[in-house]
Amino acid sequence: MRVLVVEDEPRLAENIAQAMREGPGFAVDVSHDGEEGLLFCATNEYDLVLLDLMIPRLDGAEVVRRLRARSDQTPILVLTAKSDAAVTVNLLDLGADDYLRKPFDLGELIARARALIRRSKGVTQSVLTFGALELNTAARTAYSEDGEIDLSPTEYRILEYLMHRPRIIVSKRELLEHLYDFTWERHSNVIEAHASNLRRKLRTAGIGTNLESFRGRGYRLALTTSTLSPEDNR
Amino acid sequence: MHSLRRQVIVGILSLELLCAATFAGLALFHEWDIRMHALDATIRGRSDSLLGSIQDAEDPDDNVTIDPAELVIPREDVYAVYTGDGRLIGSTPGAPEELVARRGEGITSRNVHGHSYRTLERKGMRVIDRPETGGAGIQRPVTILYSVPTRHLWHEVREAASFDVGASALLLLFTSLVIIILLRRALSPIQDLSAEASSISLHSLSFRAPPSALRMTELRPLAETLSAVIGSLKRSLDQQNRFLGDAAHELKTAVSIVQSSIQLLLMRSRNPAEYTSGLETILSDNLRVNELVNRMLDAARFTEGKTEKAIDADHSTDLVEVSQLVLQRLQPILAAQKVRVVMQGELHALVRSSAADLDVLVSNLLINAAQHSRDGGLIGLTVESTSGFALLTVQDHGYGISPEALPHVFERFYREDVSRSRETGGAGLGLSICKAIVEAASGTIEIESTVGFGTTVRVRLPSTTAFSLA
Repeated sequence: MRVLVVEDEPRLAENIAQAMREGPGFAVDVSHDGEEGLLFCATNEYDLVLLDLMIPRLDGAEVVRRLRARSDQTPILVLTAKSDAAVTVNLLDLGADDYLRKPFDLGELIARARALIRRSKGVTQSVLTFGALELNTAARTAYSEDGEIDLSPTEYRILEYLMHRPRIIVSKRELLEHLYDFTWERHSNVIEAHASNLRRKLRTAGIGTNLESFRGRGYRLALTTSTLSPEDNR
Repeated sequence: MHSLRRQVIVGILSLELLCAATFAGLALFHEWDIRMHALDATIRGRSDSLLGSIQDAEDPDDNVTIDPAELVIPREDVYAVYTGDGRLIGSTPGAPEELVARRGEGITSRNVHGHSYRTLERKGMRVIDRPETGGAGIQRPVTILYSVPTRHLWHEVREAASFDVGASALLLLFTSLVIIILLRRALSPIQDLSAEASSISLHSLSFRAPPSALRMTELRPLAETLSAVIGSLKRSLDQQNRFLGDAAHELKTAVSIVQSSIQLLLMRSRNPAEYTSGLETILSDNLRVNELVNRMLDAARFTEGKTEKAIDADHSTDLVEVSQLVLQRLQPILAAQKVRVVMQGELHALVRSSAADLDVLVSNLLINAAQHSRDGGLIGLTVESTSGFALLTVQDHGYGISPEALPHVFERFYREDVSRSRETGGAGLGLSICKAIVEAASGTIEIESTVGFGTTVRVRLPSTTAFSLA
């Protein structure tokens, strides 16, 4: 998952970014003002925008309004130092999805971020299942009937993203877009290597779940009993 | 509750009523007086006629008889004739006792069974022809009483005066209507003003002087004062609220940083080196909270006008000395920022502020200049003495301030570039504190800046030598 943090206070932005990377393993980009934040949203696909309310050049509320005005549906979690209910009501009405008051608990911030991402993908629980495969997004672990499947952080991230969109072919570009932030060197062959490792591990686990590869189109998570026809992606 | 309008209306109407009553009374009295005089003249005339017609006596006793062919006495008139020795020799048949009684010469008012009469008593000479005197007339003095009822007089006076009274009653009615309407209109600005004033509350501190009140000479000062007082009250309250809001935001953000740093460190188990560097980060984050709190307290203290202690008239501080001390103390910080400060000007410049205030002023200006300077930049610190003023100039050759930002730099928490100044530790309070200190000392502060060429801040403080001369 890839998150944009729009926060003008550099130390706070740094802490949030590091926590998101270390905790749920999100890819995180940081922007320091409203205009830059809007630009980032227009050029990259984010799974969540973390937005401080009082930021220079364009304030948070205006950023929310403009994002929604151009039908950007990315979930928005607003950070605010204001304890005024009218402010938060206005924000939610403008199209923000949730808010957190400063000073906030980093754990709560991460939990809310995960919940928002989950909901935006049509999932309500933190434990995702696909066939006999079980993914605990809070603990960041994958299970088969025999026990935990040992995955590297990147393999986990690929699996988590695909579990949110099962039976759908996800392009390599989309995976790159959502799994890596600006701090990473982005090469499609990096994805290929991790995907093939993941495919091997899933096969060994013997849970009837297969990571299918479609040349030039991307990857799909499917049950081995299903036909391999690319058209069968509901 | 007393209504001003009602009081004025009642007052004016009472006065009018009194005037009208007096006028009517005077008219009645005047009319009565004229008629009375006319009546008295009539009585004299009629008594003359009576005297003329009793020149002859028909009987030997000299009794008076009136020949109706010779003299017609009005039906209600009453007469009586006495001889010189007081014998009644004739009167109206059935004349009332009261009108026949003699009371001395002149006109008197008499009353018979509730009816008023005017009675003239006069002497006269009667010439009587007697056969025995051989045609020569005998002169006989007589006294004549002639009475006329005044009943008709009253009626006539009422008739004559009723026009005057009616006219003044109409006038009274008309003027009272006009007065009520005019007063309503004239006093409406007061009502407008009080209606506007009563809508003021702590939650809606707004007052717009009604135009009607502003047009009135008497109300204009009140309306303008109210408007000015409420306006400045609102501004200061807004300013305080903004300060509180901004302060809360800054503090919450600073606390958020510390809290998130701690939680980040606790997120997973780390090695000792990571813990050490994490704790160092937390410490430096916390130092910034401390710094922020101190500067906020400064800002609150100075803007409330509570400058360092009360300054007595003879108190004077050497601005040059304070500047040198500040420069010494800040040297490590300035060196870290890679800037050089060149100080020049007078040897002494005495001003009336306290040393502590001047210290805050000079260090704020220097740190500000250093933050806006490029590496290796030069900062000029000049103290001059002009007529009655000490002039402190701090000039940097750094980035400068954009023309859009320049008018706002003295506002609290204003930062031109939030990210950069936060990194350098500013909270947007420095210049607002400086302004408060300078204004508390009755001085002025000006800022001038060109983007890319640097900024100059000029402070003028009244010097104490000028004060002692004055």
